[in-house]
Amino acid sequence: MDFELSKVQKDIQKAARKFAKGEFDKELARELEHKHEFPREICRKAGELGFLGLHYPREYGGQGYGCLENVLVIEEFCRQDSSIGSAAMLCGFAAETVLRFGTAEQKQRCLPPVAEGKAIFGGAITEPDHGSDITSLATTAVVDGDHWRINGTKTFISNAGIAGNYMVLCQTDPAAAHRGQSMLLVPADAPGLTVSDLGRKMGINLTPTGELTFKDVRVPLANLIGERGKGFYQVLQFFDESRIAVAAQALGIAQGAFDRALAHTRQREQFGQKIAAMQVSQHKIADMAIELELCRLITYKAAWTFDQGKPDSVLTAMAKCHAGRTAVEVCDEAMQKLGGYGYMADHDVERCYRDAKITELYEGTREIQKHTIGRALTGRLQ
Amino acid sequence: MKQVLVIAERRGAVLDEGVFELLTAARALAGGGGRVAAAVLGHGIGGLAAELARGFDRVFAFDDERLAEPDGDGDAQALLPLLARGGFDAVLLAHGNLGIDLAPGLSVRAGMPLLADCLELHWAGQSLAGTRAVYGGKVHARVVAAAGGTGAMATVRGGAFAPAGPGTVAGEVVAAALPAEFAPRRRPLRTLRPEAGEVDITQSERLVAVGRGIEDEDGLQLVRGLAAALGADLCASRPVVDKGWLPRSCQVGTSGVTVRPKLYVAVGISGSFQHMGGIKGSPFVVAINKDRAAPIFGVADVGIVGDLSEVVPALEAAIEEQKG
Amino acid sequence: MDIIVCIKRVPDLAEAGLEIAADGRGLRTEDLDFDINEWDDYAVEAAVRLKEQHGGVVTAITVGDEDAEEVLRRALAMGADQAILLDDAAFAGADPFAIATALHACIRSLPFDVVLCGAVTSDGASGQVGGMLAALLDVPQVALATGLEVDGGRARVRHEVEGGLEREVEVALPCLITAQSGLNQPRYVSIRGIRKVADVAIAARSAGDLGLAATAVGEAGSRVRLEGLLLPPAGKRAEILEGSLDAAVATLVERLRERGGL
Ligand SMILES: Cc1cc2nc3c(=O)[nH]c(=O)nc-3n(C[C@H](O)[C@H](O)[C@H](O)COP(=O)(O)OP(=O)(O)OC[C@H]3O[C@@H](n4cnc5c(N)ncnc54)[C@H](O)[C@@H]3O)c2cc1C
Ligand SMILES: Cc1cc2nc3c(=O)[nH]c(=O)nc-3n(C[C@H](O)[C@H](O)[C@H](O)COP(=O)(O)OP(=O)(O)OC[C@H]3O[C@@H](n4cnc5c(N)ncnc54)[C@H](O)[C@@H]3O)c2cc1C
Repeated sequence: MDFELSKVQKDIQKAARKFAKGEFDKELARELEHKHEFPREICRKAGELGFLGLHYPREYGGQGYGCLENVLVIEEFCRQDSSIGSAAMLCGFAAETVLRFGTAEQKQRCLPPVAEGKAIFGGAITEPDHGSDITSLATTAVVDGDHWRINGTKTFISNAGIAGNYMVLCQTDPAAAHRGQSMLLVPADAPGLTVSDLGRKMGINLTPTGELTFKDVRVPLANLIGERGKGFYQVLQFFDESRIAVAAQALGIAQGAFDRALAHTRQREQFGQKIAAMQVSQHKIADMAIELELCRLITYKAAWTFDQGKPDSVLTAMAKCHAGRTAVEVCDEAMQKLGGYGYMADHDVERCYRDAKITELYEGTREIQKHTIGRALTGRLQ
Repeated sequence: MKQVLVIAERRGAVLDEGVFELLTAARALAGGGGRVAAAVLGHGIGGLAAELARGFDRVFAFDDERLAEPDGDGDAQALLPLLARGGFDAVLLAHGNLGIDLAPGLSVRAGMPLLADCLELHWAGQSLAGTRAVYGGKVHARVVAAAGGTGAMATVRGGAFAPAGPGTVAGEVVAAALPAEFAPRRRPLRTLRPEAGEVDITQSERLVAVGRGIEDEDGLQLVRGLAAALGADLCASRPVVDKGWLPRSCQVGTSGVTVRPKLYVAVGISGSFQHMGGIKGSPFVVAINKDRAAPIFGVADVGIVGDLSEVVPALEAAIEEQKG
Repeated sequence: MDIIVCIKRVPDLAEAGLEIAADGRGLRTEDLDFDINEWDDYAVEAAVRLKEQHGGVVTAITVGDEDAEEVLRRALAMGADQAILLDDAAFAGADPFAIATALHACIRSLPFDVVLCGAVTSDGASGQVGGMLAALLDVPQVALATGLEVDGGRARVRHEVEGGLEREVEVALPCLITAQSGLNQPRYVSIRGIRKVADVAIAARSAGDLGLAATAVGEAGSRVRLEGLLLPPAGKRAEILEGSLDAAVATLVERLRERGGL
């Protein structure tokens, strides 16, 4: 057993920290949040330096590293700035479905631009009537000559409107429920695909969230990602990887809020003493630090397990569930430690607080993670 | 009773004032009965040598057209025979740009230990010893030249010793010849003067100075507001200028501009001696810094420990309110 | 062109509370973050840019222990081609002269056109190693460079000189240049860079490998002995305005009126 990051992993961590420190300007983050604008320039630079898609193989524009290295980068990015970090982490969302299941041609087409920060990817699973439960979908795709014809609506789609390509989970065999789903690769400019913005939201405001409407959208048969009828299972496999990234996002946001709270309490005085000198604060700080350390351990372990070629859905669900909860709680407590300052935009802790919550919602809510864990532990009961 | 040599620095046709601080240090080290000498290099420096001879017992004047521009590499060659001849227990230079350029190489060639950037000097037995600031001035180190050998060199921090007053010594000026093998290896091409800025901060009565603590260019806006409220001009520490956020003409410090304001508000500045070295005339110094241990609080008159993004707007508002 | 760059790993002092170690001769390092010395970063960037313009090989060297390897890997990731770690218990307690002695022993067996050093380090802050190394190598040196171009066997260097001026000078290669801030803006380390050099072996050399007796290096080979570290005497301290921000600011305005000429 070895809990030490390798030299290369430490180098990656440090490089990510320096880049984020140098480029993630909090004034810019506030301004972009205000304008609901994606940090294009930063993501382009991050891509150029190889921080995005570092877990893709080199032949597809990546750096050939694994999930753990990706986790280290996401953590550092989100720690420095919860909103910019989240946007950078999400800008290649679901491209891993192409990476893990796609054809060489699909990979060659989609992945390098994403890794280089030149293109954005989206993944469309959720529908207005199918959120946690995606065992059957209303978005259908039928074979029409040498094309798929897609109809339906996907909602809450990250990067809607800015992505170049989407992975769209479709019902290709309505009779077969989750055994009749397939992933299709749909370019953003496909005729019949329209995007509408979903308006204001609590956090991660640098990433647009929108609705995709498909009206007789035709894509070539060759745009099937992976196997026909295996879409549902591929999504679950994808989640085994992507949920670790969400755990890293949560961990980074929590650490960032903690850093700010610690600095503040060490400096602010009330009743003639530093807030940090009060025992009740010290206990709170200790509680937060314990939670952060636990999150880090489980998140790194989930990533390491994935990189060993033994993805573990239960461990992954535990990591995401625990990290998401910790992020929400630590951000809440951090804001508490800052008092009124924490509530004001100038200190960015309220932004961490707002950005944290999504990690308990998307890619399976907290309850759904517990579902996964509980079902695995209890087995199928008679 | 010791023999001490001071290597004088000059700026164009005038002596660097630091040489009179070195004279104070040298006299103290020489002790009663000891002798202090100066060496000055340049072309047409008779006047400078005479000026030095009023304070030093002996002045070695290296007057040669090949020495027209100060050159740490060439000057070391010129001075080596004088040091090699022995007899100096201590050789002092100012820890300025020339000292940094000249002293390390000269000390190796002369086989002398070098105590750099000293705040204080004394004898520990027969060895030259001193105190120097390390770790950004947060810690001091006591250092001593290894025993044996032929005297030691030290560079001395500007301001560490009070300048000696006008001398009445009538010292002897010795024309020192360049060694036969003198062959300067640098060819000076041109000397560049910093471009004058829009605002001449050397004339400003009130200055608000920004340091690396502002983190990014937007932080400047914040401080501009404070400067406006105070009716002050804006200046900066070196890192802010190196990043291109403010022009060179705004840089206060030993490698920048020397200012003589009445009020100096340092925002997000740690208080390195190179920065503080550019502030003369004992202004009222206000420091805003989030690090309680920052050396700036050792030189400021009054300070607030806090994040500048909070303190600066609050201060600006309070000043505006005062003004009504 | 053969370029050598000498670098050091130093603690990040920005906001660290420094504590002197029990032996009184070093810092307690447990809670400190370390990184490449700021000025050495400019030196590495300058070295890599020279290589990019003229071709050649950049060799990064540091004197330090295994932990110090991190700055060598950083230099490699920025574009250096090889790295040498001078690692020996005998190097401990070295003054700048003893460091220069070790570096010299290593460099004298390497081909070089330009040696780059940082002008100073943020920890020891003596600014001596470069100049001493140049003297030992017997090559011309220019300290505090803010500009550097190499052309046909000569280096054209802009550097900071007396009285806040800068001077442009020319020296023949081989030469040694110390980098001052403003010389360049160092690049970010890229993941691509890290990957490319992940398998580059970093050569370690002991004093013996360099042909140096243990007595010639480290504390034994030093010309200046560190007696001890101490916290600066309290001396004059600013009046720190405590209490709530509003109260502190109000008092400050008062002080400004009393003594600041407001
Ligand atoms: C900002 C944002 C970005 C998103 N990005 C994407 C994206 O890029 N692609 C995409 O496909 N989707 C995306 N989503 C959708 C997200 O994955 C879903 O919102 C999430 O899976 C929950 O689905 P739902 O909103 O329909 O909630 P519901 O499924 O309706 O759940 C409501 C509540 O009921 C609970 N619940 C549901 N079933 C159970 C159960 N069996 N047992 C116990 N509790 C249960 C849930 O945990 C939750 O608390 C995004 C959502 C948001 C808000
Ligand atoms: C030969 C030579 C010549 C030099 N000449 C000069 C010169 O002429 N002028 C000059 O200035 N420097 C000069 N330097 C550089 C000098 O050594 C220091 O590196 C520099 O002065 C440090 O600038 P700083 O105080 O802005 O930055 P730092 O030393 O990095 O200090 C930043 C300070 O800001 C504080 N801070 C950070 N964030 C906040 C916040 N949010 N709120 C409040 N406080 C915060 C930190 O606690 C810290 O104390 C020279 C160096 C050399 C080697």
